[in-house]
Amino acid sequence: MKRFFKYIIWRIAVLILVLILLDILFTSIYSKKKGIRNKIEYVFQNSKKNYDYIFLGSSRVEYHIDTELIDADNNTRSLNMGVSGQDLTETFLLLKLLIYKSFKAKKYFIQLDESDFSLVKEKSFIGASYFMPYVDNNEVKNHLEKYDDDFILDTKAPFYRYMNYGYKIGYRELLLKLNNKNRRVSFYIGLKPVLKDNNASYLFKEKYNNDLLNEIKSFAKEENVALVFFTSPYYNPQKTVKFKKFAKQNNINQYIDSIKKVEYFKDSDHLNYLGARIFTEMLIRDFNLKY
Amino acid sequence: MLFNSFDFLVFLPTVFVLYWFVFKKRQNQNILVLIASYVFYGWWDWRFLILIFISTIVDYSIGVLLDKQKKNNRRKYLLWVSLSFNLGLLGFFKYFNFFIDNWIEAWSSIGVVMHESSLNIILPVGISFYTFQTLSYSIDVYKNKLKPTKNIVAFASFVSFFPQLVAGPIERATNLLPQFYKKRTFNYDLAISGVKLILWGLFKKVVIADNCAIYVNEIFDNYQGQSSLTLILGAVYFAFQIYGDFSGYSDIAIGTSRLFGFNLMRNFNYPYFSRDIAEFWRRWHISLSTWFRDYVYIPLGGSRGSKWMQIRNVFVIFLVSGFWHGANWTFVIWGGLNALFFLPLLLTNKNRKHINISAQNSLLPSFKEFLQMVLTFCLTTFAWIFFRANSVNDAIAYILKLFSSQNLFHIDYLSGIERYSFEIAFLIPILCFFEWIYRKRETPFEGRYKNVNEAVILILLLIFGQFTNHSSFIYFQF
Repeated sequence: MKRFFKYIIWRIAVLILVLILLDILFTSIYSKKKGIRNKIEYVFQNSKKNYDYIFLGSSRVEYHIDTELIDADNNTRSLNMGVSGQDLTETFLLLKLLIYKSFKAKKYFIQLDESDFSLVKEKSFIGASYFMPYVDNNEVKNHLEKYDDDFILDTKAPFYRYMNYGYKIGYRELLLKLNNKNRRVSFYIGLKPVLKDNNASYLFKEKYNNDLLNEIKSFAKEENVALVFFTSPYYNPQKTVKFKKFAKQNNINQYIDSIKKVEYFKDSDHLNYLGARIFTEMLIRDFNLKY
Repeated sequence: MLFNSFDFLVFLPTVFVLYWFVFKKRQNQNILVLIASYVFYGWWDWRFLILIFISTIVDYSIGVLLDKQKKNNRRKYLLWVSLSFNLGLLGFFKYFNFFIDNWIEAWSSIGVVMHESSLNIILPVGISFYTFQTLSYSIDVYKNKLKPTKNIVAFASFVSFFPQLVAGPIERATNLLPQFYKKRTFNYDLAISGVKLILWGLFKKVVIADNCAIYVNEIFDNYQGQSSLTLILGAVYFAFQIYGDFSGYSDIAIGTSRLFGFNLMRNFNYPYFSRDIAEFWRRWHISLSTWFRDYVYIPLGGSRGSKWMQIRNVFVIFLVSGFWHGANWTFVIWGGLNALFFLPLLLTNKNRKHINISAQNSLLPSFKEFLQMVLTFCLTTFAWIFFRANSVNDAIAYILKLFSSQNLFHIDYLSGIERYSFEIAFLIPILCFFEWIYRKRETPFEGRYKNVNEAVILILLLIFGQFTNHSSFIYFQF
């Protein structure tokens, strides 16, 4: 048995060594190699930029806010910082990073998903996870400590973050980064497919918690940042009465049922590029985004 | 509890330490195995435990009664009780809705409308495996091949033995049960071979199967819009997904058992190096194939009797085997196709031509052997399309699209997952390379380069493994 334990301990030691080496390798490539593969890298590789409008949120910003349309024939500069899969805790971190890196904007628009207000919210960074290579950054570390249930593993266990969030920051992303496959200039992505199912719907849950929203509001007040909260459209939303009431109480501009036709959706919670144009026009009109 | 989960990473060492350092006596070790197995199984849903407990009690009691009963008629009656109970359990939980739906559909096809009355039945994980295991006990006791046990703890541990409970290998009572009677002493070589099997199994599951699964799901769910080459790749990826998934699970199960001093039967023996379908079935899911051979095929007459009888027996065994996999016509057709592929070998008496692994005394196969392997792989992959498709119509549409697509040599960008499948293009060859070089051994972690191979596989596992995006083991649903 002693021999067996020696064998196992020796293997575990090799495993830990390999994990440390891989962690160093991945982290140094992500943090040192120039080129922008995602919006978080854009923030880390830039600073002191001026914009008129910056839009933050999930895929329902990334695919819905046509910033080129806002800036067309105008002198405005707007930035789509929506990240697919990102939830409100991650959006909050991105907001903090933008502010600390001196990204100035007349208005920050924060899109809120209904799921951001779940009563029982898992504290996780599974959504975007592009922050993970930067856990040594103080802003990221402090934010994770407060909002990430896996904080210890994510920040202390070597290579854990690249295994746990492999789908977003694993070998695939690393190889693309090494191969200089940079992201296209525009941060807005218009989706082409059209929702085929007329009977699709989005069912609201009817119970909400606004703690995190209040924390974001307090932060914005301290930093003297103008925030506008809004929700993107859903296809055929059901049981929306309580959410609308909640939105009104919390100063959230809600557009959940502002677009109704099926041909403007890609699926029940995403607009296609035609729907995105209509929705962006609505925001331009309602918030007077054009000079 | 999944083998590739954090829970199991804590569970296994805990049970291991308790087993060898706290519960040192044989009976106590059996009690620990039993408790651990129930915890392991109850991790999914504690209600499943009721079923396995009842199954254990019924078959244990039948074993005891068979031992006391000398009259043939009564012994036969007891066997029938066991068969009816186990197959009834399986039939109800696995096939009830299938039969009801088909019954309603059959009537509606002649204009009689019946109301839907499917029940919301949860399929208990691994039910097909442990019912077959307990059945083998009753049958072997009935045939006097095995002395019935009076040790209920040993029997319950045999039925629920956690390493192989949910997806096999389906152990024979004659092999596994006696191991519960023996005093266990820690065997270093056995334990090390177990650790190596676990590592190799994890590689096959987490690197090969789970990476293939990402593309397979995307291609099969959206086959209408894909090119021929993408559809071919989808089928090939599924062939490796199911192999990596199931053989990986089996390796981990066998490896885990060895840590506790148990030897389970080998379940896979490099099946994709087979030179014909008969050889493939001697190397694929060996515990199920031999189960059907011993308890269905041979009682039906096996390869004795006229050719027609032999053909009938082959079709019975393959169709039943297909149906065992799931309550869907896709599995039955998959079984039927394999029977059809087997038929020419049976008719020409060549079904036992390839017994040893190919290229027995050389590094590379002959050209003929290579072609035979490619052809066998193509046939099995074609049949896998039915196995993977959601319905027979989907499978047929997939195959038709495969031959009708205009862009034969175009590999599609998979928009749903925003990627090409480039990493599979070198992960599968890596698997094939190691398997080919070490085809006469259990894992690549033997021989001169064992440490180098271990390091390579470990690094590949860490970098390419799908640790959060992993799919559940395919065979859990059977």
